[in-house]
Amino acid sequence: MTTAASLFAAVVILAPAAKAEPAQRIVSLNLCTDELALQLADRDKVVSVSFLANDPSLSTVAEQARGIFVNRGMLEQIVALKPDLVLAHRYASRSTTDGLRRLGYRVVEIESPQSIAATRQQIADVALAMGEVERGKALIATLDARLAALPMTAGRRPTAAIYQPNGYAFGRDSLADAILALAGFDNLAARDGVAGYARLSLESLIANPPDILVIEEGGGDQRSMAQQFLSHPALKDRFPPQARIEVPRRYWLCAGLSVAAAAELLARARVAQ
Amino acid sequence: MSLLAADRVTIARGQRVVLRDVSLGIKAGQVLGILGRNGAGKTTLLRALAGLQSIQSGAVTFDGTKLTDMPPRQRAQRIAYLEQSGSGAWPIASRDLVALGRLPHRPLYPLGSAKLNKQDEGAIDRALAATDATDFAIRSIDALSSGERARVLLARALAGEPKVLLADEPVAALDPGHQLGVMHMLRNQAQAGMAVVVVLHNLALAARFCQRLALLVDGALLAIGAPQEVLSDANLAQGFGIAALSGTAQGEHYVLPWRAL
Amino acid sequence: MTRSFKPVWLALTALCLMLFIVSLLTGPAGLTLDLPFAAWRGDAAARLVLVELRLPRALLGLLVGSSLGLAGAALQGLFRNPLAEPGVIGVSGCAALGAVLVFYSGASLAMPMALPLGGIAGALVAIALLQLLALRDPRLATILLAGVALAALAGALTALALNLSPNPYAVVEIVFWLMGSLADRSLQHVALALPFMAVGWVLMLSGARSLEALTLGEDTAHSLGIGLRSLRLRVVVGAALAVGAGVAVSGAIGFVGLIVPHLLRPFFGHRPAPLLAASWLGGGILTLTADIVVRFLGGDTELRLGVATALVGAPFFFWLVLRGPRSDMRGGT
Repeated sequence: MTTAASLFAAVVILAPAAKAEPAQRIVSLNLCTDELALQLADRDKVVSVSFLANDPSLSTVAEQARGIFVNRGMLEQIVALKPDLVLAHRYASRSTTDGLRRLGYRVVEIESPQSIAATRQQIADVALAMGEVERGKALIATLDARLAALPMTAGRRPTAAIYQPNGYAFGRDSLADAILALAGFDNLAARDGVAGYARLSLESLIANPPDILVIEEGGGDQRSMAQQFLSHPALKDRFPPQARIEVPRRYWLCAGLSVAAAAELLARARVAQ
Repeated sequence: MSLLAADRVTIARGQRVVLRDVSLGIKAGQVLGILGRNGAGKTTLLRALAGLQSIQSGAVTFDGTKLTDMPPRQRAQRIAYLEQSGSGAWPIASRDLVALGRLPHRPLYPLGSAKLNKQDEGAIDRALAATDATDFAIRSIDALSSGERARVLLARALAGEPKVLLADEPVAALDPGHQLGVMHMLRNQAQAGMAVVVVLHNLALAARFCQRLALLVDGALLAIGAPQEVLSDANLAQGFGIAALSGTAQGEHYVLPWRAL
Repeated sequence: MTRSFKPVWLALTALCLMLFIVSLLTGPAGLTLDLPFAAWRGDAAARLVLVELRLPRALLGLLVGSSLGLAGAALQGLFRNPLAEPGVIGVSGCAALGAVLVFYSGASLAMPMALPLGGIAGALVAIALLQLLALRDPRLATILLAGVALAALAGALTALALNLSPNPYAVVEIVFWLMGSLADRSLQHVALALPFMAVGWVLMLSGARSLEALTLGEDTAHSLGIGLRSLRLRVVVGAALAVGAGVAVSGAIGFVGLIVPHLLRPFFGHRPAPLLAASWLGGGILTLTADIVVRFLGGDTELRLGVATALVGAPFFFWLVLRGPRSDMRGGT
């Protein structure tokens, strides 16, 4: 999705819900809104976060989320919490958010921004909806500062590809693509014609390899075929440890400060090689 | 001297006693017919003689050796069993079905070729000739009439060149012409030296083609001996609840069930 | 037996070899005829693709397919009916359940051998249950219905196990286990499954003559000196080993064991003994063919192998049933 379109979509979604006073009882139903809620509001105003917020492999705000009531996105649970603002992801828990709106609750939805500009806009919009405009501006400023501090690329940009469980790669017009570019890499998957988030066959990757393979950090729950796919001997053979960069999974899941964290990690690794 | 003998054989299935203390001997060169009502234990006795049935007390011996002491292949080479309902699961060629009778003589785990040797082929040819089935040996078993199929199944039993042939109602579903044909073949085998035991329902055939008869009533042996003695009026009444007409025609004994009692 | 089946054996072997080579040459974008030459010339990437990606896929296509074909022929011989095959009677489904339990509990991460063992255990339970049932009630309909019920139960339990797994990918992976796939397998998978499969093949093939004797019924086979208990054990354990190990590394690929023996039977005079080895070859041929086809159909998400075999096999099964009792459907009693 282009920057303009995502800006437009964000405005359309949030326009009817724009308010000035800070929300007092915020319930977040989604991992990414958990992060935004805890980064933009006082902790005591966040009444509930999603059940994924406590998982340190998935959540960048696991520490802050400790002790906050955990919800599983069920309508009755949310209503019992008496929220004055519910944050959710547009394409998850649709029936729950429809139900909440019908009951008269204020629901603000986010999407998955596919560019840095869209990320900034999303932070601004959510901050506005929460009544924390100043905090939103500060968060954006932090993000921009960290991105500006990234080392420059001298000479040829090395090629890289981000390979996810089940062989999915981030192609052009994706946030990950922008992050790779900021870190000084050339996204090979984009050059190979992958658009958005799509499958890249193992054979293509082996036959036409990038200089660097970006994969998830090992460890944690590996009990699925999708994840064990990344342990294929062919991958191990083609990309020895010096040709790999491991990035924690949580940096790819949501758009926010994790964008800067991912870019910093990748840039550091590039410079080190 | 009996070739195959049952010595005080008792077989029970759960609470029910199917065979009660049955003793009899089968000699080479004779046809022994086993008669009795349904449920009298005929098939069970035959299966016991074949070594297929577990026996509670008593023993079945072949040439003095207990069947249970004999290795299965050795027993199979000496005793052939012709099952009652002989319909093959697969429509194989008749000759291939007859060839199954050679299995006791062939190695079970072939390392090389699976082909039959000259001995096997010869035995199969002779068996087909003896049962007059050579003409349709190529045809598939289910393309045959019931009479032809009965002969092929008999050929299978003969192909193993056994010393003893045990046949369970080999003529039950056949029309009269084929019944006579098969009974003649069995008698011919006996005359050639084989010991033949047949379970029969048909008293007329039994009286005519068997040298000895054994009459079972409720699992016990009521009478054993020549057909005239075994098929006496008293035995027929007790064994089947019938009265029969009997006599001799063209040098052969006949018995004709006449009246239910 | 005076007929020689040599030309048929030659044709099957040649076809199998040919398809194996075609499978090696087939990639996600179709045929790559220059790949083996590039590998031979020393192109490291080409060699890696050929040895680590193409070879495991072709090998598993052959080995898993052969196992399914052979097991189908052996089970049909044992149950004396042509509708028996590992998929239909629930053996593949139970093998998948066993493998799923081992895989998603993490046991196979700790001990890789646990994976094929899990599949084998599942398959053993299924076949043993069906055999016990067959001894009590040998009617054809009973065995088939029990098998179908077993397959349904196994499928439901597999779905449950995957649903309960905390791993977010687990639920979606049910497609692999119930439909089967040879994509992205490695030589490690081949090494895990092959020893068990090989033992299974030997056990089943050793029953060839005995299965032939079984044509005339159990009493006749017994009277011919065949050890029925030993035969049953060898076919049951052999099929469980071969199918269980195969399913553990490739999911449940269905209908191969049904189609192959049926198509090959007329070429061997309907005799169970030569049909065993022939079905080994035929199973390999069918599975390799299906796997080549799904790669040629292309697309971003590859069509699952089990879908392809089901698309052909299910209507075939239907036709077999509708054709009604015929000469070769007499079944066991």
